[in-house]
Amino acid sequence: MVDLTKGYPDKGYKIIGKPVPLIDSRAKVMGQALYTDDIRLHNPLTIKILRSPHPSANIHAIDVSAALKLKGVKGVLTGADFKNTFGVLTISKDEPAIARDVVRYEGEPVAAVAAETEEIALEALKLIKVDYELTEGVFDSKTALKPTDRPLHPELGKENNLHKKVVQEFGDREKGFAEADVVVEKRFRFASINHGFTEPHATQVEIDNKGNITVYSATQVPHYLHMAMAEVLEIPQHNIRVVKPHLGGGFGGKSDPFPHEMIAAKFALELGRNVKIKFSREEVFFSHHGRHQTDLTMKLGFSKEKGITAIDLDTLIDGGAYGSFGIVTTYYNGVLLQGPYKVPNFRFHVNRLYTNKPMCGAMRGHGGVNPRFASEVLLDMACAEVGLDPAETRLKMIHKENTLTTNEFRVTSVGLQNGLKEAIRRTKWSERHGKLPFGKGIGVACGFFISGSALPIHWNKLPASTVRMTIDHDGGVTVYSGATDIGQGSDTMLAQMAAEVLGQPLGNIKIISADTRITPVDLGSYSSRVTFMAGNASRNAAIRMRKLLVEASCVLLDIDPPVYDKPKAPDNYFRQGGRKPDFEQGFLGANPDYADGFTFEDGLIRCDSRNVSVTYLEAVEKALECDGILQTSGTYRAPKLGGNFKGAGAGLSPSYSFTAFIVEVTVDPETGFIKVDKATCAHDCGFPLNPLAVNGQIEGCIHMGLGQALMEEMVYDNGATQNPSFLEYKIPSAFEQPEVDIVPTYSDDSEGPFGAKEAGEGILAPIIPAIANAVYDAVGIRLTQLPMRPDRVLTALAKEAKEAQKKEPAHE
Amino acid sequence: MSSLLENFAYARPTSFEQLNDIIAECQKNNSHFAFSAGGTNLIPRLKTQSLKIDKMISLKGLQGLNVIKKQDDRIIIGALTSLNDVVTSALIQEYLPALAAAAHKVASPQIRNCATIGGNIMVDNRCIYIDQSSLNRKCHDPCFKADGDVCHLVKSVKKGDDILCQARFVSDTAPVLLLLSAKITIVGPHGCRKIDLSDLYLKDGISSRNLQAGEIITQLDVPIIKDCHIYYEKLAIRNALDFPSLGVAVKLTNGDLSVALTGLNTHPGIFMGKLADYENFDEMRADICAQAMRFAKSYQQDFFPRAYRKSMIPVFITRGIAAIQKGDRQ
Repeated sequence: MVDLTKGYPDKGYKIIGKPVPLIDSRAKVMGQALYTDDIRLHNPLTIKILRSPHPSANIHAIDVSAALKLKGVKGVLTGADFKNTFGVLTISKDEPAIARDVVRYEGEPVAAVAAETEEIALEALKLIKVDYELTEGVFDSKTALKPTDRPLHPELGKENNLHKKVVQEFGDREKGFAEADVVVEKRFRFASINHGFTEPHATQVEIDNKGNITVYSATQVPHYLHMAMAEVLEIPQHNIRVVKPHLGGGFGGKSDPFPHEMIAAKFALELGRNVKIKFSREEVFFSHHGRHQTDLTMKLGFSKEKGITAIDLDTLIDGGAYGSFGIVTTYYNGVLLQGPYKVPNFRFHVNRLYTNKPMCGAMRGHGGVNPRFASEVLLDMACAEVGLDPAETRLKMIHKENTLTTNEFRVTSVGLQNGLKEAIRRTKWSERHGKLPFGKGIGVACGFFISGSALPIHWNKLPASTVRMTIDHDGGVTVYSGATDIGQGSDTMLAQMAAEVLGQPLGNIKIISADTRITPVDLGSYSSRVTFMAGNASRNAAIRMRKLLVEASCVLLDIDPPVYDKPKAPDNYFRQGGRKPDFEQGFLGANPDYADGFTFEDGLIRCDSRNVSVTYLEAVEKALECDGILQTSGTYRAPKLGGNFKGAGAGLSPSYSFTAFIVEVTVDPETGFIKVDKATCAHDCGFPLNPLAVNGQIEGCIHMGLGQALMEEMVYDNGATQNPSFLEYKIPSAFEQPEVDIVPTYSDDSEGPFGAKEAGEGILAPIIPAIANAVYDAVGIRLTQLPMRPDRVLTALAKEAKEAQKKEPAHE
Repeated sequence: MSSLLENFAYARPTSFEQLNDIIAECQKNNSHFAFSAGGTNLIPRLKTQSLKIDKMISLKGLQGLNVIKKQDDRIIIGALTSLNDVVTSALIQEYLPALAAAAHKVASPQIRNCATIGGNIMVDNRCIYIDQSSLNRKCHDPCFKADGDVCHLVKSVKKGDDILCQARFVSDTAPVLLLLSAKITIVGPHGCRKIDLSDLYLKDGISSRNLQAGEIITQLDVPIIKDCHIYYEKLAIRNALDFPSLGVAVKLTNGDLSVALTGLNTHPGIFMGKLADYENFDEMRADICAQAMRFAKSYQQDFFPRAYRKSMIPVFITRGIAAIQKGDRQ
């Protein structure tokens, strides 16, 4: 067995930092875990959605009478039944549950049927007559920029299909490029890609005799779904309970409220019956919400002495038919370039366009992935032109800890330098880069990502995460959290927090999560916020619980209780612009110390100085005496951060992760096939709460990045999805996965719970340019279009050969 | 698209007499039927409703059709032998290693456990316009293979033309079997016949198989050829799951070069050269290559662009020859 703790400091933790199988793993592999579609409600109706076969059309009429007459059909809904549009962002609520009058993408719902059986529902769909008037559609960003009298979203009052334009500028570009030793510029093009999670969307709604509904749904965002549903259906939030069962992967594809959820709830309310719906894989592709198709031009200035002197970026992102997370994507396409290196002069201009295709939204790494490819490839080019080693150069340029970026992101902990150094050593980089035989190459790239957004997307003054904790009279601990385990293991993380602080075995901690009737609000699993924010909240709840048990123990032992210091910032807490941390008002703050002179271990609570102890159970019993219930809550609030300019909030995070990849490839110059032989990864996650889980995320990000790099692309034919299946949408098989070597990398973030930062998304972005840079090392071509298909490799090789011929002196 | 199949009747005869009776009854009632062996080709077509049937007749109840045996200098392979059994068979690994290698490149282990060698040589021709769900097919006018009257790949084709459809041939095992001059035994209501495998394949993407209604293939009869070396290379972006975007089988027998092609026409191509007919080996190779290139018809109906797929033909032929000459055993 490999020791996964090797390489990390031993802090004497009992369960933190140990490789822990996820607490629901056994249930999943035994087939006992209940995913949304596995739940058995009483006598549910089955819902099927009628979807438009046309990407752009007006609906002149829709006749559902024949469907309603079919025996077993209980109800039919159309666009007329839903007045309110919705969207995950308050500033972008543009999606109807069912298309009203206008169809904007192929696959858009135009009607829905609820029937006693699936067969009857399918039969009913065939009986619905829709009178479509086909209209001319818009299918790419460039066309979408052109003026039109029929924009997809006339409510925006624009003359074209521009959804959002973001321009931000810092420093002085001209000066920056003038200072550079070399300026490199290239155009890049990225296909839209899909998350490919294993579990298709599914929702079941249970209704009681008072009209209250319980919505079981495969969602990453129970809280946002809860609020959106109340608004769309115009019923009180309190009459809706959202529950997330076991979930088979999200990656951003389940992080919005969805039409099918609204449809299901409405059927339940109108018919007074339980209902269920599940998607086919094809419907998942129509839903999409994948990574935006992107066209970008980036110019990068580099100086041997100063590093990157300037970046200038012009980008079009193709958002499809609706907004989803798109406005955030638009910002992230620029702001996330502010790390992992300093960029003193910086400008980006990103336009998001509407087109008649399934909508794009958030996908692992969000808007940071595509520009990361561009900047890491350009950096590699710049190093090659000035004759500097690209790995050593990056090593020097990575942000030092406690730095403000040019756009005023507060970077605190950075531990990547050691990880990259070790990766360079392990891969024998300096002996191999530029020196391998033709066809073999080694490349490097780095990345940077947020550990959750410091500002909520729905403006409010609530904490970013709240966790409740109780202890039963038998000592069992229950943790209640809105945090949404989507397979990444947040339930396990919450349990580890409680187990460590209270000195309990993991099995003694029960998790109740993602149930809006029972658990306090957590904003959801997106932007890699959960470990940092819900983890801190759980830790804080456990610390308060520990305090109650210590006090009870002192009463039993007849000794004075400890005097607790007022919560204060950790010693190395990095203030931004003199702002005081927000630790007043009784909040514990982030990652506080809990050294209270007691040790919780082996069922005992012991006062260290006097060496006297009581049992944990005795303390629990004593603590229960007063109120009959032993309950605490803990919260996390992000500190006040950010500059004072418009859009300063995008990309703000209490902490950032840093990643480096060194990748080894073999390129077949006759077929153009790229084989990724080995990926060496150093990911600064602060401190690995669970190295088994962190390593799993690294392997998963490698696989997903490999897919985007080599073979994944959504193919549209005038708006029609050509490859809505796992046969034709090419996700790499197990055979394509390279050998993986993980370099333990840490930085002990002072605000992350037990020092932890994110390890879910940031890892993905840099592997893609690392592959591209390795391909350059192998065969001397710069690929600027994803996926890096074999035919594109051959085209680039032919072009390169032609250029090389031109440079040779003519022979007589 | 739903994962629910439309209703059909199901029969599982346990003898050829029963099978013929069921077929006769279907024909009398004008009942549209299809045979199912592993079902890995049939079920997806039923799910996408690119095929509608009244009755599914399973062949798995028929005894003795999944046996592999050696008879003198021939290997007899039952048509219902699973691809996995073809891959792992000691007889096939010893005498027909390229066939085991080609079978191993099909799909995935789970599919190979169900799919049969008979099913693979019969596998339906594919095209991006027909292999879609019924909803997604509605985006375009129905093509000829979907009972419509247009071909989206070749717009000039009209009803009544000899060749209506360009759906392409995608069997991985057929090229190897063709180079081995395999014969197949066909059993039907009107008796039994044995033909060269090459005679099974017709040139149209819709009526692509030379079988009468009710006929099934029961076995493959493959000669063991002395000094015969075959190498099969498959073009696919992944090392599992995908149909061949191109497949090239190369055979060297006593200096004579033959090549068989899959994936780049409605039927497989076979090109045979005798060294004696050429100045030298290179000339023979160039000519065989040119024949294959002329035969190959590439349309934009695949992950790889059309020109790229065709351009890999000479590369794979050269590699196949080199592999055999080097003694690389598949």
